[in-house]
Amino acid sequence: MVRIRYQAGTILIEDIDPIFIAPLNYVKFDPRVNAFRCLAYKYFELIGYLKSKGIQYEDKALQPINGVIELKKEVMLRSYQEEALQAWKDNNYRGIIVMPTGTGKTYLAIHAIFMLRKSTFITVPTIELMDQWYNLIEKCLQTEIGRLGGGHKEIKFITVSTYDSAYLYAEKIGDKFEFMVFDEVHHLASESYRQIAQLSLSPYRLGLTATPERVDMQHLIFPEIVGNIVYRKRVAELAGSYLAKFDIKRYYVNLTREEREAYEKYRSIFKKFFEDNNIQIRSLEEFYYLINKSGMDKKAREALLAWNEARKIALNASEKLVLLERLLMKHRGDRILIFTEHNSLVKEISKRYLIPEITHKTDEREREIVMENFRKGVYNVIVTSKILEEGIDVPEANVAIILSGSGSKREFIQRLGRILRPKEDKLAVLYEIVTRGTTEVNLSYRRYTKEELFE
Amino acid sequence: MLPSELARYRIIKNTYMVPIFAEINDENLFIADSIIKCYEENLNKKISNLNDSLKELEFMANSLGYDFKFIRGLKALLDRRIHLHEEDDNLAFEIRNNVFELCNKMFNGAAISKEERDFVLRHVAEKYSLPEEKVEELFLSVYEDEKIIKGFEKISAEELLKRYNLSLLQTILFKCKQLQINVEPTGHEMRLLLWSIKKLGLLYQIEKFSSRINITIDGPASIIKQTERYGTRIAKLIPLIVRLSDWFIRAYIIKKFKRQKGFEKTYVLNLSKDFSKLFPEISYEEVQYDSNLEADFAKRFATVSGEWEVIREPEPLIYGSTIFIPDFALVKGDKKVYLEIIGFWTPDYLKRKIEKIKNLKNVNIILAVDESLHDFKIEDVKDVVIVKYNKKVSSIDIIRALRRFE
Repeated sequence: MVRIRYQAGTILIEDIDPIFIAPLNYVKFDPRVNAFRCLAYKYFELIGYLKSKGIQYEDKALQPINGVIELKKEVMLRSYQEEALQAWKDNNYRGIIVMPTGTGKTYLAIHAIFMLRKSTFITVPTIELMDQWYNLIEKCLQTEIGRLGGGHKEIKFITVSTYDSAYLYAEKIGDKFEFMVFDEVHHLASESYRQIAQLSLSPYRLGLTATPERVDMQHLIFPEIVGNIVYRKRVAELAGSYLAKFDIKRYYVNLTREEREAYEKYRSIFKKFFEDNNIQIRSLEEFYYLINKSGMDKKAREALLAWNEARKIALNASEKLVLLERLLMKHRGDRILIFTEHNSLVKEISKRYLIPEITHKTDEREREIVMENFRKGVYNVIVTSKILEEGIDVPEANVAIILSGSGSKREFIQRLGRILRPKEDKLAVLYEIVTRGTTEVNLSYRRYTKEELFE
Repeated sequence: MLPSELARYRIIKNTYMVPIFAEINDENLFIADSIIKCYEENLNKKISNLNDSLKELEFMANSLGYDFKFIRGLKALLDRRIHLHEEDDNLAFEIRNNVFELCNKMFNGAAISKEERDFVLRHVAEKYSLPEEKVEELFLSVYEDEKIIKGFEKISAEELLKRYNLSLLQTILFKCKQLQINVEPTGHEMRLLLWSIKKLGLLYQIEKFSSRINITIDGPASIIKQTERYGTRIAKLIPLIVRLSDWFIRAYIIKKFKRQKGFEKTYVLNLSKDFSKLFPEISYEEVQYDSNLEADFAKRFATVSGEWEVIREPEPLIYGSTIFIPDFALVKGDKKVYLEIIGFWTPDYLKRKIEKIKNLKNVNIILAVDESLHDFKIEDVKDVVIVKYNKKVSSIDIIRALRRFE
């Protein structure tokens, strides 16, 4: 009889007549073990095929963890959450739900878990988010919960993991969970993280994100490994009802004379390099060309360093701090998040204005104190670089000041999302500060268009 | 291992990837020595000091024509050898929390003017009966570059270069999708190699050419799609391989091109024992594959063996894709019988093992199995004799089994 079993992220199909395998382009013969093999995520498809052909088989592939789930606390879903969940269910419990940050994606996922009552593996981008999910599930569900990552290694009926740990252990966990939830699913598209989905047997899959599309088009893999987008809501559709009302203001500052001189000096170095080599720096590709070349070529390296310096001058212009002081003054008493591109500016601001900071270098002990105190109102202001962008709950914040950032749409949406958690009569404000007459102006234009946000 | 952006290699004829190793010559020894000195001189100073001197050194080396990636590679290895002074961390976090809290209470979370800032620091200093400068110093002490270097594990310039070379090769192999090893191993080396491959969750295929063995290594999913998932694990085999008496490796390395999204190319990396002198002789974590059971048996058997000579770790037996490494060869004149002691087994495992041995053909084997594990009837097959044991393998039983082959 045909036997199928799981081995390190793959399915081994033994004692099958090759004639049945022929039509399956995802199955290959493996001479090393004298059996047929395919990637684990094809499990559902494979079983369906065997059944349709009336082939008898012995299935030892899935070894799911057993457990029970009771509801501790009833959470009512909002109407759009109900719609989203229904759409996902109608798609055979597979697919991606796109909703803005702060609209209760975690609650939605907890409902999905309770609905299925199967062993569940949840993947999230950071340790903070892992703890946040863990605590929320513990509050809502009576069941066995474990964490994988950040020093934890507990494989339980419900397991919350970071993408990094899930990638490392993908082969060991691929047969233990029937349901996989991918939080901030856009991460999953990367070459390595996608293996988390590919090496798992889970027939049921749910992806959550506010921003599914990727500039590199890698998101085209999603339908295959998670499912199609089954539901979508934009920020503007929910602002004022389920999200706070918000306002975006862009302010410009100038470089000082010294800064301007240094800026032009560095610009001319890399401009000259591109002219000499007859390249136009119009696209990201051209820039990668420069990076690649810089390993070998001294001139290319100088040009790259000059480009970096020029960018740093624009992004960290000293007048930005003058404007920051004015904004801090204006919003005294508000709950403010300050975002920068570089860690050096975070340190500078923290030191100068005695504002608590969070970067990826911040010690875990201090990070916990800062987050806790910001929530409790012991701290009103936090300065941060990239770490707070994604998913971290800071419901009280109502002012965001972007001192500097990249041109990424996702980064902008995530930063905006931090201040949109609804609260009574809350009006959120986001300030962008941009240095006039530098490449930063173009950078800031790339972040969003009015249509994307408001229509 | 190095950060991947510091990997250095040349592409030759658009096919071969050649690592740029550091030759052990005077120039490189000088550079390595200068960097080591930098670390030694900055003992008991701040990390930021060290980084400043290293930046100068990199600038100097760069102008002498050294690749900055080489300098940073050495730095990456040396950074792991420093120990930082960390004792005051808890006080520092407490002070910072006090500063932020007071700043929030008095000025809503941001001390905008210098007066406001001084006010906060002064009050916290008073509370802790510390001078204001000390509070400022503690406030900053949590930043990594403000930390003091307390210790530095010494290393010679030559050893540093050799470790750099090993790390460089491993770093390049992170992107490896398949590794082929050509070796002429002893049974011990072979066992160590195969055991490591297995322990790392990799798969192998073996071919034999006269006395040389070709091992092809990749992972379970490799058969379906080319993947670098196993690269980091394959790299872990390298310290073991470069220590073998004779070796040749061919690695297939995937390189992605950022300029053209989705475009990638596979390059070939060849290396042989001629390069052994570039690598360090670090002791690879010895594998304890010998169970006490075997050691104990060898000792006892020697006293009653008579004309039978005991050879431990004999050469591996290979037939087609089957490889078998017995624990002992027992030799008497032109008679050779292999003995394998199986400590842990299941009926399925034993069946597979016997199937495997049947493939070998004309090889005499005694399998000693622990009878306390399973009550499982199994018939001897031609050339294979099963001896059961309880707790320890009886020499007398083995002598008796050997008679079957005489």
